[in-house]
Amino acid sequence: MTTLTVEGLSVRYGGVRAAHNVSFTVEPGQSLGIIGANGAGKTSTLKAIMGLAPRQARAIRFGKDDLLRAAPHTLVRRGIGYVPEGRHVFPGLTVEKNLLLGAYCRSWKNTPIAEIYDLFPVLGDMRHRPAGTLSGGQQQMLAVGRALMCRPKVMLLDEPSMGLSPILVGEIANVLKRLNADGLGIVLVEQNAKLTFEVTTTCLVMENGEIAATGTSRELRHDPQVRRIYLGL
Amino acid sequence: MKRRLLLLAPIAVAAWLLPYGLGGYTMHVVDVAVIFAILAIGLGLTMGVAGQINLAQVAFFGVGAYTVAILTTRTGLSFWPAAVLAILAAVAAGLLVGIPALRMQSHYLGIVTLGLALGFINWVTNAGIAGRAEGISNIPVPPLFGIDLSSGYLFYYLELVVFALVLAFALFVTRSPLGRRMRAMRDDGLAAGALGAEIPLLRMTAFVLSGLYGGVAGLLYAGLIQFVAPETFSISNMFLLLAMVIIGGRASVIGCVIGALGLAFVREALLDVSAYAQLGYGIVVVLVVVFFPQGLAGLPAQVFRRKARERPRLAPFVPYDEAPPTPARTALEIDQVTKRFKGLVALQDVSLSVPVREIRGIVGPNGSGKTTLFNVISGFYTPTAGRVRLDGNAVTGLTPYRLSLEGIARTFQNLRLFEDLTVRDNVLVALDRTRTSWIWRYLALPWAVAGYDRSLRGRAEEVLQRFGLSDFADAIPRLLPYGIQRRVEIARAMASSPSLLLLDEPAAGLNGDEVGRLAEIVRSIRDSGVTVVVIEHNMGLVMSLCDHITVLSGGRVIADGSPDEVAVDPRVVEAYLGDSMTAPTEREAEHDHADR
Repeated sequence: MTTLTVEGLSVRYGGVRAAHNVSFTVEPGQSLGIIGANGAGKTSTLKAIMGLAPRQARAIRFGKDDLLRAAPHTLVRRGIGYVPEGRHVFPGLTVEKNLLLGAYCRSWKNTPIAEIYDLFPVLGDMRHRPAGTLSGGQQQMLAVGRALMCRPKVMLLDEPSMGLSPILVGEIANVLKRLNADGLGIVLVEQNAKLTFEVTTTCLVMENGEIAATGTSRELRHDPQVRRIYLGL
Repeated sequence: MKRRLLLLAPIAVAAWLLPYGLGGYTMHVVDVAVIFAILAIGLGLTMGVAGQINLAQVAFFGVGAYTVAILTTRTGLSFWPAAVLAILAAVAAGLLVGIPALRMQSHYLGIVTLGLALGFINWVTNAGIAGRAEGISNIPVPPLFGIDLSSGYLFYYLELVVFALVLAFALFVTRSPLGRRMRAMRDDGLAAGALGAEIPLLRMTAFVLSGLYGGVAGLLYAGLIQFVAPETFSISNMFLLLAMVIIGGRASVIGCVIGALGLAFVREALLDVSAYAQLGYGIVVVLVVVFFPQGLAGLPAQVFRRKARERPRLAPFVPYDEAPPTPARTALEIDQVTKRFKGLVALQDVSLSVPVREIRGIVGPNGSGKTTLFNVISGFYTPTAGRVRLDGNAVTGLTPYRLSLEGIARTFQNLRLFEDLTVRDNVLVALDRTRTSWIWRYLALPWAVAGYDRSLRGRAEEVLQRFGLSDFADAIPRLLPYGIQRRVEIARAMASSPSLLLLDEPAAGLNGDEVGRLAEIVRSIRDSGVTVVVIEHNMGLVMSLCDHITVLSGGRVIADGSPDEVAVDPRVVEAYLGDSMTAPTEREAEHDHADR
């Protein structure tokens, strides 16, 4: 089994504690949402799992592999995809080259690029345009597509809905649900709690760097406090 | 301040007493080291503070030294008038070398400045007036109230006074509005321009400073050695200078001085093995860049990590005072604007007019030209056709810094905060509303500049407090959560006291609660008399916040009207809204009740 296990993860920047004692597991086909206010430690948690932030943890495992000492790029090779906050596409390279770079750990001849163009037709239309000339929302789709190029088993997504029009938010939700149904494990960090509840089955609520509540997305959706804070109701 | 004086006094005394313990040759080495320290300060200002790659510093040094040499030996001018002309010549050289910086940056600029420096060396090696490869000897000793400056010991004191003055000036410049603008330009030239920094003039200013320091160092060198020859101004010395600045810490003036003095003595120690010395500098530079990217100046911060402290908290926003009503007029008018990029039409005949004190929403599918429209309004793009008017004045095609001074402020979809400046400094850059031509005061009226800076600092605290950011004043934006960075960007934009505020997706990355607080902030900004145009995908926010909505699709306006009209327009539903998920909203409650 390729289960992503995170146990007792803490992140510190200098003197400031960004996340503390975060634990969860995600199996392929499962989906976990993480919601919380700005500064709650959601992004730091994802970055720390990928080894991109200073971290301490009892364990971070993927299947039987210990990830605590693994370099970030080896995580991608093992089957963990990552869509960073704020897109980070390569602006000078074409859409197609951005996607191909996402597949660097596989043979470039046998990539799922056609599937990506199926998922996001607009990327196919713009395949020869430099990524920097795409609109913000298109770049966001490119970032998701790029992470999918490695055929990940579990994917960490940091605010994929940021900057997307309502129609595209709906499309992203459908894409994620479809991928999830096909067996992809998903960890979704979002400010858009509605999207999170729609896509995931389980949710963590983070506050001040710690997990403040855990529950099924259905329960949390109707929790009055969650509704007030995260849905603005 | 007192602590600083206490620290400074022993250093000054030690510097004053130094010659008493040194032999003649060592004194000479120290004299040369101080000259290199002055050069390093100049290089640190251009490269470290203003971010302009400058490999011609050694040529400015040469222009200063050679001007003194030529004028005193060939025309019989006495030393000090020649020295003044030498500084002017070096500043002129700075201006000349700075011209390419108007068009190119980074390594391209490095290559061009290096080429100009080589051109200078070539000229002095071959021109008869410059003494060719033999150089010019018998430069007169500078006369100074009967003090015999041919003694390396006494010359040291002249150097010390000059050094103290130029060091103080450099520190003053880096800590004042000009230095902040230069650092802002280094971190993000586009955003600095949008906040009123005149980028071309600032780049030239950086090279003028570089020339100034090169000229001062050059005339001191001519007076000290009384002989100039091309090899002093060679590329290997340029590299030494570069190594001094990188090892010391290029963004810190003090670091540059420490690097320069340290490396000057290392060079002396390695004189016997000079064949390997260059290699040695190279290795040291690589090690420093890898392990101490901030140079020696960054060491204290790296060693004394800040202790754990309280989690900083975002405080509530303090609303602006409501402005008295103004007569209705058009704040922003966009008339038939078209923007094409190499065959791609981003905007096609877009017209809209926004009355004063309105919140106008711009919505539309991704790639429909919304951000392009903002870029046209704020001067980043010149429209292919059409006009933009601000309060009735044509502002089409003005540069971003002119538009900023005309009262347009904006935020960026992808956040463009100055990454290496604190949150407070980000706000301070925006508060400074002076033109670059104001900077003559730095030389003539430094106390007036200091007073201006104090008043800016006072106002910065007010802005930070108003936006609830006081806890984050000393934080580096990069390390802050997205939502707080967005708040900083709005605070920074408002610090420039705009009449028109453009917000590009201000709610991206905010949760429901935070979206509500954002709406509160934007309404208060509107009520204070500012016209707001906002691009946003969060339809709940757009519907409740905006007085009027313009919908773009494929670069054209497809609908324009009140929120309720636009929301039911079939073209808008088809192109944009779909039957889909909206982001967390303010008004969701009502919809939700209706559902049940």
